[in-house]
Amino acid sequence: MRVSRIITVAIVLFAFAAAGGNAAAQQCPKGKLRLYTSWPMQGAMLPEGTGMKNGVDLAVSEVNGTVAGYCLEVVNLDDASPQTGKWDGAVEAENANKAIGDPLAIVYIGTYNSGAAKVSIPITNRAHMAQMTPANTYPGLTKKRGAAPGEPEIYRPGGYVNYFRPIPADDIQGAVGAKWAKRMGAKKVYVLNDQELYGKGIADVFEATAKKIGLPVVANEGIDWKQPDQKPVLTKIRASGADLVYLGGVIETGAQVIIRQMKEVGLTAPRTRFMGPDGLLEEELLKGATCDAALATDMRVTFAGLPFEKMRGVGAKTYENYKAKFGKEPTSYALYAAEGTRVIIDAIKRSAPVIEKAKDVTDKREALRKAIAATKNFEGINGKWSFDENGDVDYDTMSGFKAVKADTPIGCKFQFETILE
Amino acid sequence: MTGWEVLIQQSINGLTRGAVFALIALGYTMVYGIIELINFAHGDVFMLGLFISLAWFTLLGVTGTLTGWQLLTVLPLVFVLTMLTTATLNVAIDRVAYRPLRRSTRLAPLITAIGVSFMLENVALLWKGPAPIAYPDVFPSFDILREWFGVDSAIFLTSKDLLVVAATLPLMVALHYFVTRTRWGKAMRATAQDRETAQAMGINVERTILITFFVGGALAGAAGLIQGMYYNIGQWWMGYQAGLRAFTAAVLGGIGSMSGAALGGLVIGFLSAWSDQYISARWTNAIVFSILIVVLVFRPHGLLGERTADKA
Amino acid sequence: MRESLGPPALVVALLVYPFVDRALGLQTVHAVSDGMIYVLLALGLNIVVGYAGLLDLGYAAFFAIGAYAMGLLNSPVLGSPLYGHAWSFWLCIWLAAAVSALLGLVIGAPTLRVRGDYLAIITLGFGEIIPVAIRNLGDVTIEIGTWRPIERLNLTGGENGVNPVGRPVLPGVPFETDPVPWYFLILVVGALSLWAMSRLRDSRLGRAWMAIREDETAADCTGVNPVSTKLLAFALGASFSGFAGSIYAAKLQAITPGAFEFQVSIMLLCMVVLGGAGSLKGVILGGMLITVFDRIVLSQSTFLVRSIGRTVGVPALAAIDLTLWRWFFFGLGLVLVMLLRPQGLAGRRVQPVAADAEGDQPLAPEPSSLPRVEAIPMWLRERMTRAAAQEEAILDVRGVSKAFGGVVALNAVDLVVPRGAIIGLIGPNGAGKTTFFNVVTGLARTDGGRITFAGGSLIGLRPNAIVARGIARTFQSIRLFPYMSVLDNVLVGEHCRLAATVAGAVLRPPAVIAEERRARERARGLLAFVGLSGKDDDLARNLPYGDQRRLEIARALATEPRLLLLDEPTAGMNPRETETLTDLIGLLRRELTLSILLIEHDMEVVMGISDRITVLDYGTRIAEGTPAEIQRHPRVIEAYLGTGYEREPAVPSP
Repeated sequence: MRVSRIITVAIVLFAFAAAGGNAAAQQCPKGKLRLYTSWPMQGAMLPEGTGMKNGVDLAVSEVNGTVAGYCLEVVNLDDASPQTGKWDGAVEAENANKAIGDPLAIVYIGTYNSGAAKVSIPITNRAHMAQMTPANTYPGLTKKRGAAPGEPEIYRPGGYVNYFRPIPADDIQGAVGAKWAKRMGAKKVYVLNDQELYGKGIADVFEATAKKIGLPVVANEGIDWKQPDQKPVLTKIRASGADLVYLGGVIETGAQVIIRQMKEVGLTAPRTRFMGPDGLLEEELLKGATCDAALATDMRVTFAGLPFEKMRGVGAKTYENYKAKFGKEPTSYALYAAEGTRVIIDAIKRSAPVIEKAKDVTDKREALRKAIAATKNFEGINGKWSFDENGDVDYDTMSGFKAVKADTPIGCKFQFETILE
Repeated sequence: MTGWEVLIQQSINGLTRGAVFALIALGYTMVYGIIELINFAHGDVFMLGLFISLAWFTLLGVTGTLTGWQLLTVLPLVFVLTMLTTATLNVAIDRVAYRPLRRSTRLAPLITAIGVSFMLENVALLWKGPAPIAYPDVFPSFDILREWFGVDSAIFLTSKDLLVVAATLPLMVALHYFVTRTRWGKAMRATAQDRETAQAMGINVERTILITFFVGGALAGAAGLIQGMYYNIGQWWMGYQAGLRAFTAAVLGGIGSMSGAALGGLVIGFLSAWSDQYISARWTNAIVFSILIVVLVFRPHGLLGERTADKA
Repeated sequence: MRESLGPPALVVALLVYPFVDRALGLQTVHAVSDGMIYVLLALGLNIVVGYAGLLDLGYAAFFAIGAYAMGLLNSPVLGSPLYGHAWSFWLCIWLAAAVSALLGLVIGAPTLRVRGDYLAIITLGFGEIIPVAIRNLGDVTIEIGTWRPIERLNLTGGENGVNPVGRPVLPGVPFETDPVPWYFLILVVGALSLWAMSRLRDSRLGRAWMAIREDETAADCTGVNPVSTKLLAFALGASFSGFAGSIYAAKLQAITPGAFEFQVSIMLLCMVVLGGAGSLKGVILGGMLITVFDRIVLSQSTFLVRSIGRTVGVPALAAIDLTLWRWFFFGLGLVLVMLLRPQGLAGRRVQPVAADAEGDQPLAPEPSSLPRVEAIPMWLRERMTRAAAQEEAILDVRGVSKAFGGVVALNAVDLVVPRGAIIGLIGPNGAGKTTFFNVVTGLARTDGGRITFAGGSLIGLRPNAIVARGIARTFQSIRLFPYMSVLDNVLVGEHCRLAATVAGAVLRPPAVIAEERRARERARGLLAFVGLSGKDDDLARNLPYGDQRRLEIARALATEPRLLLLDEPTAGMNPRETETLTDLIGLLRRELTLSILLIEHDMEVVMGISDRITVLDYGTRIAEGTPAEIQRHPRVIEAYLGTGYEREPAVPSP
């Protein structure tokens, strides 16, 4: 039979491949602990996905892969679906289930997309497994402000917090953006959003805050970001007379087109300026939108935390180490992946005695979850911080960036302008 | 801006948007007319057209804005080179993926078209990377009303708007001439109407199909180049989105009808621009498709499509 | 049915699989369960695309509706009008299927007017509109001046989606923590769906779908109502995706509008066609292949190529990441499979058409026996004699006109067919004979005049309704259902005389079983009568030309007609076949008092068999009378000799 021959060949090759994988053995007196990661590792997300993976690897390598006698093993999963190439709930659920089903798995690092986190948090929560995100900033995952009804309790079927983020959430960033816009002298704002969870969420917070502080908002309009032509919407903005365009979006959802075409339809400074959240703080954006347009719109971007080059102490060192180890600039969330992993390693260190005595895997995970929740005065890349009762960081340092002319290959860069509180 | 100025400006936006849709739709409709295949790969040929034209510019050493005589030499040259490249690509796709299935069910070539579309997108992704690519400002951009006529108005009519229309119209006229006047064009129409009879009349059907794919590919290449110069941005997945819109335009106009495709493209361009302005951008897609459905319910063969007689 | 070890072994494998998986710690149950949901979706799509032959490019819309129906009804937290009322999963799954089916009707409704690829684009349009609507209905504000009756109303959860969705509750079954119950839930739903689908396929309804797929016009003229049949295909196909969508939502616990976009529809279409449209086995195979390909094949092959690269010492291979090429390989796979097996992996391989089907040259047919009186099926004889009506003229056409654009095809034509008579309809090329048939059978609308059949007017009736009244026809160029079996072709003819409903077709109560058995007996009887016994399972397209003609007549007879319209039945036949057919026609009239209206170019046949003859020229009746009268009629001689008589035998009229 042809089929059986194919199967035989497959089994032989499989065994061959598997043998290659088990080569490296280490000294692990207390055994192995596995850290699962889950975020998109394909298509447009590949650079950021690799950056975060590098961040995790960096933190693990700092302790040579062992903590308190345990060897750490990182298992990278991809939560993008083959059917769509984007993050997919079903794949994310499968990843989370894979993690909780592995008796060596102790913690789940992920996700990148807040939508994916909504799927996996309840799963890890039921298993008492801590989940650490390097990138989710959707407020509702941890707190009531900026959340949908029922959030965040619906993610905690066990009634306790197992989800932690070492990065400030969007409710802070959107609000800070609105205040900054007012400080810059904006009189009338037009808000756009890409109709995705992150972009719409942050645009909604911006809109609400702006209205509260007396900054008129013409509209908060969703755009079809798959369109390479946004001139009609921008023409509408021009007709409305707004003097600031705020875009809730990321570089994957057409921000380049907006900025570039703002210039073409005559939405330029000083009459109209542009502001966006940290999803736009990527050099790729300036490349795609061209410096011409970015400078003409007097572009501003807010960022959760400090810019890498403004970091001091741990932050500065991490930044340098990353560049040295991987030979390139860290992506937006790469250092937060490293930070999250360090928090985990620190917590393992503190809870090692309990983990050792735990009678089953759930007890081990519960011990680590408690230890992470108890993280206080951690020496992080943005300074000292602690987790609050929601699993959020207790600092809300934000920085504001501005596009300026520069002597780089592109001709411009984002320059730190101000600290925002 | 006054209400009228907004309407005029949005109509200019709609016109340029629609002209690009129309160019892509023409290729769709030609292929459909002749072998009744919804060629899903067509949008991706268009996308590659954009990247290929960029490559030709780079190869010719153009990185900035073209000036003076360059507009008359380099630009037409790149048009021709790009169109030749994508035309050849389109013919190759037909040869490999569709031609062996000519006598098969209609679903089989549809699936190979989807397969080819995936392959082209993957190639573009690996070639240009996932992020949007900035297409250089090769075509000088200025406000015609102000620069040429000295009118200081709230309406912008840029040189690039003019470029889209000025490049699209001659292409459409040339295509119309080609289809109605030339021997090859007549063979194309004959084959589209009745392949067996055309064959019986001594028309080389396979060569005619080849020519159709060649011309369709060339148009997609031209559309890619125009889109690149006009919107200055390119991304690996844009072909699928543009293809979807163009296919819609072709159907709205009456699939298989050349003037229908042009009309359908323009109608969708105008409708979507006006909807962005007067309703809401987030509903535009739904509105465009709703109008399409309503049109098809009342005119089941599109705006200009001919009712094919039911041969009893 | 062949006995084999296959099915029981498969059942055991499916039942044991999750436990083996657990024992080996493979953790593949989740992936396999998700794959099975997609397979269930593909099976639903198969009803629309594979059976009814309607290209659906927006099937993900039904998936979305199913998932959102479950999500909205079953979510305890959503800020919708149903806030706080979570319903049971077991109830919602049925509601979701019903809502999806309803939407299937809405999307299918344009089928009343739109055909072919235009219909495909309508489905695509709905596929685009539904996710946009779901996204936007999460934030609805209606503003009239300064009055805002509705402000930021959240109907669907918007881009947030619905979250969490209630899980099924069954005492003692851990749906919360364990994938295995899900696996079995999907397995049971999938098995039930398969069972229902295979029964539908082999029913009156399944045959009607396939007839529509093969030739919609011919199906309409054989008594199948294309509108209701297509709507039913959309509705039933959608209801299965309602089940799939609701299980998906409940299993995942969270749904977002992004999960139901165009790519999903395309993937499902690929699953159906890759496996073999119309074949249940094929669709399952295609669906499993596509879902498994990426998660297992690509990642493992990357691993493999890398380790080979390391062993052999080629750094390029050792560093390769095949997952970057995933779409390339996937596309390549689609292309290759389609090129090598255009009918799909499990589709029926079709023999090349016999050479005779193309031209008018008949292949020398196997000698067919002359029709015998005893061969007339008893039931047919009973039906015919019982249905005998009193009126003298069974068909009475008065002043019927028809124009196409400026061309007058029929100009106030009168024609009467007395009961039990054979009436010939002749005329030169383009005289309007076939148009006359089309008008009588409802394919073309009259511009004026009356058509009365057995006392009732036929004006405005659809072809299938006219078939139900008792008029059957054949076509000038044979229009069988080429990819259906000979027996099924005849069974489609019986469609309008059978009564099985959807529920009946699936549940098969004794009445339906009896009806189906009777239908088959009758069909076999008819085939024997026309001389086609023993060919039940051949594909219609593989029959020789003369047999195809006879099959078309058998199909027409299966509708139990009182009037038979034959459009050039002897065209392309040799003298021997012509003689057989002429005898058959005479027999039908003699024994069954069947009235026959006949278009024929073979003057010998027409003159020999007809009671009376009507002659058309340029759409106008120029003569009417007995064959002898017609042969002497000056205008007839003029029309034939003056214009087209010489050309006549060479060029068939339209």
